[in-house]
Amino acid sequence: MNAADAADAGAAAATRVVVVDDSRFMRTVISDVLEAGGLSVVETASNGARAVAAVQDHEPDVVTMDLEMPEMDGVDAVEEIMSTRPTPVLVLSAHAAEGADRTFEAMERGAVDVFEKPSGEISADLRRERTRLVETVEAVADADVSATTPDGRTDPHPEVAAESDAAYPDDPTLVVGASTGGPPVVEELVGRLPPAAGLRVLVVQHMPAGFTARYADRLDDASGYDVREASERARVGAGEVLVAKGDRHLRVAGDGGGRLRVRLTDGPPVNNVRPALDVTLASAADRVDGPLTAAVLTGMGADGADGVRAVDDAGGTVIAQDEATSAVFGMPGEAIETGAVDAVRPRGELAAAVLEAFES
Amino acid sequence: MNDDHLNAFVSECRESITALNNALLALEADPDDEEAIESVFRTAHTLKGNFAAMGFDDASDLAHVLEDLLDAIRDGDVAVTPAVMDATFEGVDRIETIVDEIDAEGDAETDPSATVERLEAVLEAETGRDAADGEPATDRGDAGAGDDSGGATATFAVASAAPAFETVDDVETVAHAAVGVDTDGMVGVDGLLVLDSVSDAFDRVETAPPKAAVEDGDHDGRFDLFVPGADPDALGDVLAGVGAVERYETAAVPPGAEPDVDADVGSDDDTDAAGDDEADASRDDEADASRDDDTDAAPDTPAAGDSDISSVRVDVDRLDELHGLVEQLVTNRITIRRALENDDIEGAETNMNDLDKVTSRLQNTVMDMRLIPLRRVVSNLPRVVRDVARDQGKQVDFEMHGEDIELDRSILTEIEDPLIHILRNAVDHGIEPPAERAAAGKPEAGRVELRAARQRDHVTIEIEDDGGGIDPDAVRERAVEEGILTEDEAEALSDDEAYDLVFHSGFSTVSEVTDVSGRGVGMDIVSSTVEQLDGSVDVDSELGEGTTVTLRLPVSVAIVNVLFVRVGEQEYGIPIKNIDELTGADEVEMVTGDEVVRHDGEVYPVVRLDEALDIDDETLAAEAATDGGTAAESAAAGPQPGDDAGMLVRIREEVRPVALRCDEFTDQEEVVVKPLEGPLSGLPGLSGTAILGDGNIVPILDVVSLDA
Repeated sequence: MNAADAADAGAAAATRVVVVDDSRFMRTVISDVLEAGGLSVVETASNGARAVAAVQDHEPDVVTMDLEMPEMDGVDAVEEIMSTRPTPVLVLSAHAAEGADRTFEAMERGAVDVFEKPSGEISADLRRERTRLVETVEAVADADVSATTPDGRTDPHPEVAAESDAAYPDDPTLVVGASTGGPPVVEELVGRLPPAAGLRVLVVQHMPAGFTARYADRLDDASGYDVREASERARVGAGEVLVAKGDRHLRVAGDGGGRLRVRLTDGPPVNNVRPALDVTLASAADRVDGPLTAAVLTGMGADGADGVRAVDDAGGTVIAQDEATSAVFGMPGEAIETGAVDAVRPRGELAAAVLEAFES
Repeated sequence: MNDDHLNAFVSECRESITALNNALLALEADPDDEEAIESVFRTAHTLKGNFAAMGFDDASDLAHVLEDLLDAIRDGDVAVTPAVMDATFEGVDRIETIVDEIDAEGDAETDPSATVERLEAVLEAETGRDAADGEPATDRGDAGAGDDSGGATATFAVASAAPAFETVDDVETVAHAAVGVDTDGMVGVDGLLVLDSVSDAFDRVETAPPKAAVEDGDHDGRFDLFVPGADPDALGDVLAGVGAVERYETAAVPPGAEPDVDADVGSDDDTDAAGDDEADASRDDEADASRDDDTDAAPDTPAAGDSDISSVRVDVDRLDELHGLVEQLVTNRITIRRALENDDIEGAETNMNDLDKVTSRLQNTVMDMRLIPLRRVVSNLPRVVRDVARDQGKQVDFEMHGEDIELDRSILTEIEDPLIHILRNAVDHGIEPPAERAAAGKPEAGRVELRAARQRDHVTIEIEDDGGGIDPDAVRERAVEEGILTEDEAEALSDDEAYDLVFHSGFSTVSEVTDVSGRGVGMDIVSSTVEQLDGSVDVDSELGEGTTVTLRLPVSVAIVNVLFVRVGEQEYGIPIKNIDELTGADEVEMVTGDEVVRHDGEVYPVVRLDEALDIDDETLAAEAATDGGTAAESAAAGPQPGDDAGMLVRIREEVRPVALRCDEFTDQEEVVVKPLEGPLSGLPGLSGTAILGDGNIVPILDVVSLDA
């Protein structure tokens, strides 16, 4: 009775969720996990069309969305929800990489974040996984969807340019960190960087393992930079971007001959995440020789806050995404709190801010 | 995961497997059926996710490779050939075995790796896609990096153990490569080239034998490389770029690891010829094994399984309704008890009436919940037909009609096996081989059709084939051979009776016992099962044209709300659901000599029940006697004299636009109706009998077939 009482007592304030999955079993499991975590599952739906209707009927705080479904799939459902009643959507994707493309499509249409479905493989610590799912759903529920909804620009990523090429310094290094709501923002930022600037870029986007390789491919398509997923002892030179590999920390091991050398490590999660922006920023502050800029973008939690202090101490520049355009103003907010941030900019001006940082 | 999850999981898996089988059949029939391929792909995807969520990783891997194969089919990279479909079906069967085990034991015993390999081999053979390098292998590789199982599979060329690398901090894994160079060339130079490239790429490299020996060519063309902390794939990339390297295998091993003794176990990159041979071998084994399975399982049901319908999905509205009714029951009980305590008999009676209403609604709701569409058991049948046909080299088009017909859960559960037996028989004994059919001027593909239809309180299920039919003379001969009948008896048998002999225990018209259905048991079981259900089974056949087996089954152990009417001295029941209005007979008018009654401007003919039922006929007495004889007072009441006397029961127009005339209404009650069986079953106007609380037996009218 205690659980029921608690649920009743908390019902008024509980986050209201619509769970969408074509598997009844999966709906049950997800609903049970969320309800046990104190959330209120107001409706479940077995396909995209029903999901759209359920969102209309119940006006939930957040939707968990499966992608492969009959009739209307998850990607179309996200688009429909965003155009009818914009609601934060968390994509729940089966493990492994083939769901990655569809996931990014869903994010392009306004889904806020992705979470791997509960799986025996990753459930060595099932309790922790469940807690993480509940936390993620709650964080996504708080996300500002107007910040993630595509605004219909024809050319989403026009490159920015400095006053003149001469303004670019030698061997500039940019570290970009993001979490919830980050993928499209990172894509826009990287897409706008002019190759002529010759930046060496490291991207730490919190994302389940198996998604980062496809994400790197997407960034590569969106940008004039050469983007790869970081492999062991990879190097990144001018005009190149490395995306931190899911479930491994990305450390800068050395800087020489115009190239950064990185290492992937299996250390314990930092700030509950791996890769952690703090790990990458701390090693970059330590090892990078040239000018260093860190950009902390939308995301829940406080990852990056310690790192930006280290960057600041090492003489680097720190940029944070502003609150209005951040889906979740966790990481940028925490970074700003440290006092190490030099500039706070909206999503569309981040690339320009990065170039400014290197010009000054 | 709790038990509820496990149950939900198993029940959904079963549905998925059925859906998968049927969509695969649709795909096999029409490889361009996009809906079918989307459906199979999505279902495999769901199975994979659900297995993973429950922690059944082996099964998840199996579903994953199935999904990959289906994906390749969807992309047009793999053609829908019988061989590919066989492998796919085998995968589905293996998944089903695992689900059965999970259902029974809570865990899976079956190791699906042989099936996974077979599917991978098919995928690889059909696409040239390197299945082992595909998703599942990659996943396993990722998981294996750094853990013991990953390390254990490394095969060292010469080293006895991986170096410990004690001087290097935080080394958890060592990338190992067993490198082979061309032994006909200068092995020392080759070794030097390899070492140079690797040393360039990595800070620290150890070899076995030692570096000097490698560079001096002091080895047999093979040596081991160990790089602390490196990604084996990165090491592989470097080696791939060195021309001197003829072959290499990489793996992650823990520092100080010993080599794997079982040199057969390859690493993830082991996709050379040896791997193929292994896959081929296992494919053959598998094929044999599955053939054996079929043989053993023939009397049973490999595809459909003999699992009972142990769970029923119920509409939430219906549950709410039940809940409401139970609440009323409780309230009723309290009020009645209170009334009795206060000696308030009148109040108790009023409440008893309410209780009547509540219990009858409860009864209806529960009976409705027990009714389940036939689909629930027949959806497995296409797969049964397909397997038997494939096995026998026959072509069969199988069609089903009336899957939405509903039957009581207990009946439905029982008839699954009989249906499978009949279908196996139809394909095995009925449908001829293609050549024989062609010679007989028939289309090469045989046709088998299952049709279900509801007739009154019965459901008939017909299974018709256009095969060779049953030769009644062969049946007669056989019956005499088997000692079932004497020659005289056999001669006296009509053809129709001869056909029914196939249900006799131990009877088979095919002299050699085939694996599929010829053991002389199946049809015997069919008739006994159906009879236990108060049903009947009948065979009709035309030599050379085909055979039709008809099952007649009661819809349910039906509880019917019945109005009792008196006609002469006899009482009859009329199901309330058929009745629209009750009136006095004084409304009857005569129109052109016929009795009619008007309602809403429509004219309904009046049927006098005494005439329609030939009330003085001895049939009723005989029937009453058959059923127990307690109400054997058959009356010889003639037509009622007074035209205005009696009552009218106007039947609902959609049932039959007619009004029935009787002497009076006596009672209304809910009764269990037993259908008429045996020689009485064909009687027009009667649907069955009801046994009342006092033991009396009352015939229940079938207003549709009543003589006008």
